[in-house]
Amino acid sequence: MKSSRRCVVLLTLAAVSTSCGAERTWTGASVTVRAELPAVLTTRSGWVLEPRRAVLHLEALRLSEAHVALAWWRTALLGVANAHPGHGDDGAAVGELIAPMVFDLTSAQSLTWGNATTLTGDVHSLNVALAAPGVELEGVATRGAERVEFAQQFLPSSALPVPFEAQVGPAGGALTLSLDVAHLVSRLDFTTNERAAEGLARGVVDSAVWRVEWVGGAP
Amino acid sequence: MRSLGWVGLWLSLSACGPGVLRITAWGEDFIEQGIPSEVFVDGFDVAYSKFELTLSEVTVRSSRTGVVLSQTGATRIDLVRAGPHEVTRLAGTQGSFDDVSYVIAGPVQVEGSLGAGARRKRFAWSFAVETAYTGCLQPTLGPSVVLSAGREETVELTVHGDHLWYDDLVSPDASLRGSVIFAADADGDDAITEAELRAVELTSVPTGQYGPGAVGNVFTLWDFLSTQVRTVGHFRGEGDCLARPR
Repeated sequence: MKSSRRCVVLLTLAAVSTSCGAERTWTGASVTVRAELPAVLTTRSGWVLEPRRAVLHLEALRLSEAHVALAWWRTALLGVANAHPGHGDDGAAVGELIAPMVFDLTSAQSLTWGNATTLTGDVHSLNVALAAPGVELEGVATRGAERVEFAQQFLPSSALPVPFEAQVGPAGGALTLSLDVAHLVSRLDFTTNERAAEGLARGVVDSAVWRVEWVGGAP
Repeated sequence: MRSLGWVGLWLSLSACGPGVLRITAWGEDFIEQGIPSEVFVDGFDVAYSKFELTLSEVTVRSSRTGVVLSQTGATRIDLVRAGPHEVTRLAGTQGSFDDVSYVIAGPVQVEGSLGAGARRKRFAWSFAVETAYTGCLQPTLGPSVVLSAGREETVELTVHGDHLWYDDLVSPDASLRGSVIFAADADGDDAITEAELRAVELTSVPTGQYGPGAVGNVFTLWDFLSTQVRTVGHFRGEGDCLARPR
């Protein structure tokens, strides 16, 4: 399944490289992920979190020519079949890394995800695809005298679009994805289980959770 | 015979002279007349008394010739007044321009009332946002505007006042909804304020409503409206542009 999907994407990439003339060539980008974890995790509603387990199940990364649009009607107007809702400008995938990896958000370490195959040229966004079960959080939340044992998980229905501007040169480069764990959990409110679940879901899809750095390779 | 020659000369000069793109802005009936309850999912309606914004950096480019025509200065307009309103006039030689862009700068001031039946609450919001609209595209006409020698063509930048009330940025099933914003009036003084909207976390509204998708840092109803207000800019009626914060 994965190999056939990869084949389709690479065929799409190849079509882009052909249609765009000889200027675009294949290159590579090393991809690193890291978690930014503060000493104390406090949510907007005043809960202090002590996570026993905080895991991100990464599946794939795609670089895209598409801009991240603000609203769905742009997608509807353009009729872009493969666009994520809220990810609506016309544009093709120009790079990808498919490498399932379990990333421990409490480790506060940088981890090499892999090497993305990519075309040279402009990149305006990237998509992070998660594998089931997506994001898992377990631990204890306290607020004053209140204490809640929690176990939440959320898998977004489609890849997460993140605005990202870079110009990929022939020498490729290095991409670092930093995940702001405090931002990811900031909406969690354990007043009810439903609010906590909603808070995690909204945090996972918030593109501000991600900070992307690109360092071009030496020509 | 001589007079015919003069007419011919005048006609040829007219045909070869510069043309003008008259750029206008219009808020349509939804801003000028109000948004009726029939289009809201929960029976609410909206009447605007002010919908004021600044249009600037109106630019048309030709990717073929590289010619660029740009607005100088900025034009502030209250779209509640009957329009269309002239924003700027761009003069140039004949050609087709396939890249239209503009900026809506703040503050975007939106005032009016929201209600259902006899129950009404006022709002007077000021959004300090600046949004660039690029790559404008009209479903029927495409991206291009044509400047004809010696002629004046009108290009409308349309502002959709109903978009502020959509209850989702992500879902194509989004609906116009008034009840959640109406209920944000915590002190019951019949005025829905920025502070009251900031106090409503989106995790507290019914699940599935007010989804901002990938847009970052949208935590409260005020954050949501501040994002929605960036999506009001359109192109020639139902045409759309790529909206990006500046």
